[in-house]
Amino acid sequence: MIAIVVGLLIAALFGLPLFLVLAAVALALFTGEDIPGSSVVIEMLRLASSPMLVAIPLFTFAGTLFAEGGAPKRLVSLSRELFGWMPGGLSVVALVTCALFTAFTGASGVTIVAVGGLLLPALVRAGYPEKFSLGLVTTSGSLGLLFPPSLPLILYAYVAGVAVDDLFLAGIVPGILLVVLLSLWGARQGGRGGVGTQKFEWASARRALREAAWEVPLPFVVLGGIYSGAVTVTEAASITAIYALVAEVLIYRDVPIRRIPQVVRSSMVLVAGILVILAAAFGLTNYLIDAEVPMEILGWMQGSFSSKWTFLLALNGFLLIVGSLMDIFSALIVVVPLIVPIAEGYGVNLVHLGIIFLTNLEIGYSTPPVGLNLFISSYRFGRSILELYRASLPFLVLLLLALAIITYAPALSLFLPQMFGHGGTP
Amino acid sequence: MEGFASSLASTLASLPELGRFVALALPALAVVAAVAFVLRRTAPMRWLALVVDRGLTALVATLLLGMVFLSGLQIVLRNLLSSGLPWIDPLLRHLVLLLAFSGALLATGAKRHVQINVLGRLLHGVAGRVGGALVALLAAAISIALTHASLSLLVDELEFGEIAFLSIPSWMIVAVFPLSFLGMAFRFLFLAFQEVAGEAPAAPEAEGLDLVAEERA
Repeated sequence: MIAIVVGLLIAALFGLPLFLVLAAVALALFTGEDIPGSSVVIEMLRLASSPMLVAIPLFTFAGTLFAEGGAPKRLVSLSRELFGWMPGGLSVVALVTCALFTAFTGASGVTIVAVGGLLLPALVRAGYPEKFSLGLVTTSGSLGLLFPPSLPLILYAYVAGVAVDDLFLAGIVPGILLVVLLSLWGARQGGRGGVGTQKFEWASARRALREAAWEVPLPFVVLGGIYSGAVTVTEAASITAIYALVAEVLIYRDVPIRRIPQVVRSSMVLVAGILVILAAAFGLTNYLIDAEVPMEILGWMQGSFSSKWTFLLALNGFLLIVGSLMDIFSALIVVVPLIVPIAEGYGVNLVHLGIIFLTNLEIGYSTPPVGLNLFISSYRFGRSILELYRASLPFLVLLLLALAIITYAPALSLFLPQMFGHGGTP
Repeated sequence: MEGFASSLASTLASLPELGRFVALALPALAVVAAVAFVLRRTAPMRWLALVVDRGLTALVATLLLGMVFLSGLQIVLRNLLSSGLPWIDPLLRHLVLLLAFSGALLATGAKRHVQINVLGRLLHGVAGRVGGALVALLAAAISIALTHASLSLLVDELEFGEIAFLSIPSWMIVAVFPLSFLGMAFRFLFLAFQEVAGEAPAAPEAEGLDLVAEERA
C-alpha cells in the first residue's frame, strides 16, 4: 500500500495529472480497507451538490472575456489618468490595475499576460528602472487575490465551510495593506529615479472614463450587490457573466461572436482542471479525516509548537513551500481540509486562517525556485529566470513583511466581518 | 427508456473485478489507440478528430452558455414573480458536474491538466519521451480503474437509483463518469504514442500562456 502511494507521488513529480494522483491514492486506500471503489466516484457526485460551485465557471468565463476584450487597455489608461499625478504614480497604477484585474479573473497567469504586457513597456518608458518594473509586474500578477470576488476566496470558503460573505469582508484591509506597502516602495523608486509624473487633466480623465464607461460600474454592481445582501455570490457570478458578454461582445465588440466558443473552451479547460481535482480530493480528504490523520498531526504538532503563534509561524513556512510548488487552487483543495481541524485545535479563527492561507499562496507564486509567476514572466517577457529572481526579491521582502503583519494582527482581517458579517463563525 | 436501462444493467452485471478489468481493458484500448495513431494522418481520421474536437467544444460552450442563461433567468423570475423555477437550481448544479468532466476530456487531449511536474521538466530527448509515455500510460491505467469504479456505481444506480430531478433518473447523471473516464483513458493512450513519436503537445507552464502563444502567432 505504502509502495503504491509513494510510487504515485513520484509519478506526480514527473507530471501525472494531479486529479489522477488523488483519485488513485483514494482508490488504493479504499480497496485496502475493502470499501468498494465506487465510493470514490460517489464522492465525486458532490461536485453537483453546492450552489457555490456554480459561481466558479461563471466568474472564470467572465474574467476570460474581459481579458480577451479591450478591458485591460481601458483599465490601464483610466487608472493612469486617475493616479498618474501622484509621485510614483505609474507604479501605483500598475498595482491597482493588477489587483483589480486579478480579483475578477482569479488566475494570476492571465494578469501578467494581459495587463503586465501593457504595463511593463509603459513603466520603462516613464523612466522606472527596468529591474524594478520587471519585479513589480511579476509580483503583482497575483496581487488582488484577497479582494472579492476572487475565485480563491470562494474556493477557500467552500472547502473550509465558512461563510463566503465573511471572507469577502475579511480580505479587504489585508489586501489594501499589500497594495499600499508596494505602492510606497514604488513611490520611493519613482522619486529617487526622478521619474516624471503626468499632470492631472480633467479632459483626458473624462475621456478615459467615458471609454471605460461600461466596465467601471461592474465592481460596484457586483460588490454592492453582494455586500448589501441583495444577491448571492452565485447570482453575482451570473450577473458578471451576462455583463461581460453584453459589454465585450455587444457594446465594445472587442470579442466577435464566433470567437465565443473558443473563449469558453480555454476558460473551461482551466475550470475543469480545478473541478476534477476537487472531485477527486473529496474521497481522499474524507478518508484521511475519518482516519483522524489531522488529529494525529495536531497531537504531534502540539508537542513541538506550544502556542498558536509558533504554529502560525510554522504554517507560514509550510504554505510558502506549498505555494511555490502547486498552483493556488490545487493547494487550497488538498491542504485546507487537513489544516482546518489542526488550526481549530490551536484556536485560530477560520476566516483569519483563510486570509493567511491566500496571502501565503499569493507570495508563493513569486517565490524561487519554481514560483509560477516567475515562469510566466520569464516566458512572457523573454527574460532569464535568474533575472526575475533578482528583480522580484525586494518585492518578496515587502510581501513577507505584510504577511507577518496579517498573521500576527488577526484584527486586521476580522474587524470588518465582526462588524458587518457573521463575525467569522461558520 | 426502461427497457434500455434494464438491458444495460444486465449487460454490466457480470463486470470482472478491478484488477482483471484493467488487465483486459488497457491492452484492448491500447490497440484501438494504436490503430488511431497509425491512421492519424489519413483523411477520415483527421475528419474524425476534428469532429470530436469541435463536438466537445460545442458541448462545453452549450453547457456554459446554458448556465449563464438559466442563472440569469432565475434571477429575473425571482425578482419579478418572487419565485423562481424549482428545477433550475438542481439543473445548474448538475451542469457544473457535466462541464467539469467534459472540460477535463478536452484538457486531456491538449495536455492541459493541472500537474506538479518538477522532475519531468528536467528530462530531455529520449529520456523525456520515454518518461512522458510512461506517465501517460499510468494515467490511462488509472483512468481505466476509475472507469471500472464508475461502472459498478452505474450498475447500482440502474438497479436502485431514483429520479434525481426533472424526471431525469440518477443513472443518467452517473453515466457521465464511465463515459468521460473511458474517453480520458483513450486520450492518454493516444498521448503515450505521441510521446514516443515525439509529437506530443507541450504542456504550458501555466494557465494564460496559450493567450501569449496566440498573441505571438
